[in-house]
Amino acid sequence: MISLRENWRIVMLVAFLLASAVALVGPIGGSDPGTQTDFVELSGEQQELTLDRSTIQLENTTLETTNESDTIVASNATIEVRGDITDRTDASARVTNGSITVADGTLVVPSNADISRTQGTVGIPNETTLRAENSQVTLAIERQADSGLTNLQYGFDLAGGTRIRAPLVGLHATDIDVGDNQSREVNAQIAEELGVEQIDIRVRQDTIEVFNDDVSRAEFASALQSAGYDVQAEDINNGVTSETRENVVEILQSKIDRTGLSGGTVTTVGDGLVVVEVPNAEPSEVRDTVSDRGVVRIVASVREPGSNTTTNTTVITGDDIANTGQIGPRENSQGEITGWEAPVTLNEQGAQQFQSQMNALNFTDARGIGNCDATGGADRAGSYCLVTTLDGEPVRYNGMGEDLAGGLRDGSWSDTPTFTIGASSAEQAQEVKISLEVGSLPTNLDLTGSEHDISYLQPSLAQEFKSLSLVTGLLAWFGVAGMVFLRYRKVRVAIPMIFTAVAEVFILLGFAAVSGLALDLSHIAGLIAVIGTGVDDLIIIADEILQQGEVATGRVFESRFRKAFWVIGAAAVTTIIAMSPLTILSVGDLFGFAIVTIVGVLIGVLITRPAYGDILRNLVLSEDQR
Amino acid sequence: MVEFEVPEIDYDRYSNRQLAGPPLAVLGFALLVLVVYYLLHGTPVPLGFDFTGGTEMRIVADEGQSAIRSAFETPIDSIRPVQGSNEYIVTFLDEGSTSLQDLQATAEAAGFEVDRANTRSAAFGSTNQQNALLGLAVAFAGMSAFVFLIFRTFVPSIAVVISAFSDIVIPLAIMDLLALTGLFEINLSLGTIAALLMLIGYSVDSDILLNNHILRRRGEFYESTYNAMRTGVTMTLTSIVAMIVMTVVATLLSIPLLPDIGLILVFGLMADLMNTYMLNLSLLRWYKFEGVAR
Repeated sequence: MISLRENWRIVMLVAFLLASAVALVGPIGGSDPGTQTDFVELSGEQQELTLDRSTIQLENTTLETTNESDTIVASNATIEVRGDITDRTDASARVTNGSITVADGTLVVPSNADISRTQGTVGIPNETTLRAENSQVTLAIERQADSGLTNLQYGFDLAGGTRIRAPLVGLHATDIDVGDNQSREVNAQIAEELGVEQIDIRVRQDTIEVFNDDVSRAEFASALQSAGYDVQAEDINNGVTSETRENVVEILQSKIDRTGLSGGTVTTVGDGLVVVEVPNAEPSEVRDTVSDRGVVRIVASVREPGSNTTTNTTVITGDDIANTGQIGPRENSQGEITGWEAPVTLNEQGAQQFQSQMNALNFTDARGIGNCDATGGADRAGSYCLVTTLDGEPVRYNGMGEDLAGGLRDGSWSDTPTFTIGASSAEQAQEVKISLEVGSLPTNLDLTGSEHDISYLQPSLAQEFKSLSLVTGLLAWFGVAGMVFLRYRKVRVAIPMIFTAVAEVFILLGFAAVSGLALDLSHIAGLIAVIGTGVDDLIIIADEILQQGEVATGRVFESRFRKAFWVIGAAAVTTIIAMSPLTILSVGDLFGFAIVTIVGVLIGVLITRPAYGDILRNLVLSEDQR
Repeated sequence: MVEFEVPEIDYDRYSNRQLAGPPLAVLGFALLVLVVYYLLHGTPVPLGFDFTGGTEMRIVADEGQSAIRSAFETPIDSIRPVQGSNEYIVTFLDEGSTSLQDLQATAEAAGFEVDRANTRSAAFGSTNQQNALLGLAVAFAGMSAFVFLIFRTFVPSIAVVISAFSDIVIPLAIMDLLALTGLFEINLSLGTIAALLMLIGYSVDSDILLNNHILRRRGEFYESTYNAMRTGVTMTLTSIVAMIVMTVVATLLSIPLLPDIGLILVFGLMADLMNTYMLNLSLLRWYKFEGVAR
């Protein structure tokens, strides 16, 4: 009878193995498998796509095009889906190829499905069939990802897609004594000095930041000096503060989630770099999302009759908007689409301000209403335009509408302050909407200068690496097993040894699953290295115990075991010392490698290798000798 | 079945000078190679994409290298075929997101399939380089301090440190020699840095084992040595086998990163066998029989 108390190390190993098994394949809370995209082509032969999982997954399904012409028109259609419907929720079907017109075809949702259409959204709550007749449509269906066989997460190397690493644009000065409640004034003053906009400056507690590529450290320092602060150019730090960085990461993450870049993650690494990883996306798709700040403004652009100059006044900013609605096409009286719009509701302060500004700028009387002619020359009558700008670029000029003007004039509009923001295309309207919902980024990723790195890896290749590196690891393990057999010739020594080594890797994988560590190739290398050091240490234990004459008693065993452990412990500490600089310094992908190696060594020294000692004792000592 | 038994070497036949000479000569030569390479190329070892920056693409090209050369207007820095496939790794000195996009578009227009594409600014590369060197230096210093702490005597400790140093320098020199002769190119990458750090751990393993057997245990010197060698050589050979398998398999399956790590470790572990059982051993023997007696 093997006593549990004497073999507690083995018991602990078994417990850890079971825990790892649960961590790897069991249902663990909080692990979000993300979404995955399946591409299905509907053409000639294969015209029907049954979304058999749709009962759950495709509730709130949306259709979205990501091409130049943003229309899915199914002319003789049961349902006409017009335009870009991109309210991405849990799942969405995305039409990705070229410009799509389902010309003679139909986009049919069977009659037994319960269909609702609100401003272009097709909701398909039940199992359903989408059919494209006489046409070719590629649907990319995003749904909750199969979590795979295990709970392991995979990083860029093993998932593919696009990864962008770059610092954020900005400079900051710390230890500045900004008086209480002075930050607004200071902000305005410094923006004025630098000739940048106020949103490019952030004043917080004792820190002042500037987010503009064109401002040098010396310029920033002299602006601060003019504002009465004793700051030299050497005191200005490159990059942004960690608060700003976290803020950017948060906004960028929700922006990416809404843009249909499914499964994308945004994180920071040491040295202030922001890392954006998006599986299944090409660099060009991700680049604009991360380098645009998404500042939406409505500017009143006024040219007095006969005047040469245009005066621009910002009348609505993102801060004035309480919520946004579904985007939709703007149609003229003939039903032709003339543009796109995103309806918004202003908050009380924004509404009051807009109402009074519109009246003051003459938008609401005969001069302003319907009189927008941005291109006209000086000889023309005046022009009163409401311009939608996105990151400072005008995207749409609109005139003041009759109805809106009436409400603004008599002041009733501010009771129900709805406004439609104009855009030229559905894409723009969507960008405006997303930017308003997630907020504009305080600053953007710097992809023009200094330190950045953009990688693309074909997802299918990454998938291949996943299984191939497993094969590599297995073969390396066989190599090790072969050596161990050749050396010891005793199955009862060798078998526990090679399985203990594997147990180490298994527990390490369990750790990876629990901690949500995204596995990359460098981790795989770390795992193989762990097999190497693990077996080395087991050899030390086995040799110490077996090779020095008979193990007569349990006490002799213990003493030999301790001697072996002195060497193993010293070696383990060395490895941990060697790896620890990498956990602090930012050296690309080596962080993961270092973590895996350190944790692997700890698991080995604390759990698996002691257990191997116990196993050996059971094998070499007869019962009464223990 | 093949016998695998660690041979017992008759160390008595060799003087300390005879034992320490060859490893020290190899170390000297390795350092010389690094200096020569530095004088020729401005860096002690060939730097890979991770440290230089630029743009790198892995593309599938059935038509071969000349087709790749004619397809790009941007100057090509290098083209390396991927073993066992019709794929090539093409590098350019141009960097930045726009050149990545342009190059990718050019490749696709020419009918190549782009498997992976990276662009990295030179500044990013040089930060990586500095941090990697710093990491290596800190790791080495930490290891040395720890070794001195546990043995508390100068000669045995310095023996471990010199062996470990040599174990790192020799693979680097082999990289240089391979690059200089144009046989095979392994560039210093993040993977090779990881391998060098692993080497510190592996190298110290067998050294600590040997020192421990000789210094801290009763028993005759040569008997202790043989006991330590039996264990230590088995350990190192097992690791070498694991790394050879990893290198060969990963190369055949064209998995990146793993072959670099494997190869460096194979070189380093082989150097470790020599350094531990010749250099370290001779220093220990001198210490045990002459150093302590003085």
